[in-house]
Amino acid sequence: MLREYWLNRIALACGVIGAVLLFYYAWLAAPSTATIGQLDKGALDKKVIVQARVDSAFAKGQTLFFTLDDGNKIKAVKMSPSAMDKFFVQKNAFVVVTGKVQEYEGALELVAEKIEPAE
Amino acid sequence: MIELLLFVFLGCVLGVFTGLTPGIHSNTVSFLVLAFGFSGSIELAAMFVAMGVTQSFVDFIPNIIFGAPDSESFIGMLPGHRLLVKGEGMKAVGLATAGCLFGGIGAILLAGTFMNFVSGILFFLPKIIPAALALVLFSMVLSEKGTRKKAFSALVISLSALVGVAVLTLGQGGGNTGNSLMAPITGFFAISTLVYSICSGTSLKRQEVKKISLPGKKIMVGSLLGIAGASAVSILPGVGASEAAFIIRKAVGKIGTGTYLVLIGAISTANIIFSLFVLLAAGKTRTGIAAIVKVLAVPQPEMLWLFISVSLIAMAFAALATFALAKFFLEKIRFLPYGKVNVAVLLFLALVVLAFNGFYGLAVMGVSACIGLIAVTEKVKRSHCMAFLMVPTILIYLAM
Repeated sequence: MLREYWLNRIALACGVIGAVLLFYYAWLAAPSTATIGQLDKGALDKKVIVQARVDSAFAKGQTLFFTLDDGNKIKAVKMSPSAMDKFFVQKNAFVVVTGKVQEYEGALELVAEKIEPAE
Repeated sequence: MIELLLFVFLGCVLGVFTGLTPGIHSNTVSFLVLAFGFSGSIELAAMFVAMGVTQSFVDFIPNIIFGAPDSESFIGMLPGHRLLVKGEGMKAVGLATAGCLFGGIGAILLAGTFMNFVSGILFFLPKIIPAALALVLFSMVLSEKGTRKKAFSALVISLSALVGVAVLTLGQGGGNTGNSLMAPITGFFAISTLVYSICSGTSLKRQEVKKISLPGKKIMVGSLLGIAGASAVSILPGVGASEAAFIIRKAVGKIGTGTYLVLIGAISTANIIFSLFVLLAAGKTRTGIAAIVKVLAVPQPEMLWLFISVSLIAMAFAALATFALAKFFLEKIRFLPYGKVNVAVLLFLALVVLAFNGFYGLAVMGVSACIGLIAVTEKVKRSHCMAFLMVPTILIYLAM
């Protein structure tokens, strides 16, 4: 017979293991701050934080396309952008973009996950 | 990190609220979030995962104690109510909770294997589902003893199937959403039980809430069957936790009430966790939670650790909360006249159906309740009313 006491202990153990794994995920997923010039093929599939000026931007369907410029340029995309994303990403606005570096048609691009205005 | 933990905790609290409140589902809350245009938020995705897992545990409290079913695990109401009337309501909730806990643990341990086989299962399983469901329908009639019972069983199945087709394919807000299922589920399984309890003067025996012990073998068997069922449910559109539990019970043969409750619990929680793995492996969404997560955050391989960790934390919170809340409600319910509690729950459910589905829903609920009462008074299994889900599912798969 399994007593309630042991069920509670098993549940608590799950919670502790879950908390440890959450720390592991946070460490794994933590993005590193970089300038656009530092992004090369070695940064592929890595998550980065980039602060730059929006050089151009347009929305097509469910995707927001924009170019970031901090002295070097990189193309960026945001899938299913929210109203706030479209508000932040306007020409000459300064933004902080968190996203993954990927390759598209031979060039690097930033697949944005989070867009915030630069302070 | 702290922000992520806070969102997970908030998700757990919301899960308790959506679990305890009939008619309020995690999908309902998610509509509000999406309406505000949130996206690109891992924290919100984690909150919804925590909410969904917690709800799968806490759902069993209104299900078993108050006879107020939800759209996923409503089939647990019947065996749970049987134990409640015998004074073993805490045991019923305990068995379901144990199923949820071990089902979730099993799903997490099988993450790698499951994700490797998702594509193969996606190809193979939809081909056999219509035949399997049709076979179960025939066996439901044959399982009754005597010509009279077989005839009434066929009648209940046919009428339930008609209600299901009318509501799910032709009715308002059609499709297998939580709210469109609420009226028939409430009618078939809740209102018919409540009316019968009120008319027959059913009273509750004193509930044993202290120091419950649960049969280990039943938990193990029920959890293993539940994990297997959940792996199919998380992939197949149109097949819910209750349907899967019902099919497994028919396929395996005699399963005791206790094992059945564990099975339903295991399927409920493991289904949510497996559906997140399906999202990562194949990009497909089969639960509301997976659909919300896909909108909120672009699925990435490392999110596997997020899903696992949040699920484990939510399972811990939910198991402890479910035990505490069940004890609280069971200790309070013994001071109340059970007949009046039933009347209050009946009126509350009618109001909820009216609020979400209007007078049309109320009419569906009434018709479903009458069909459920036919089953009760003619002493055929009320689970035959499951035809309201199974026949539309067969039609959907044949049309694919």
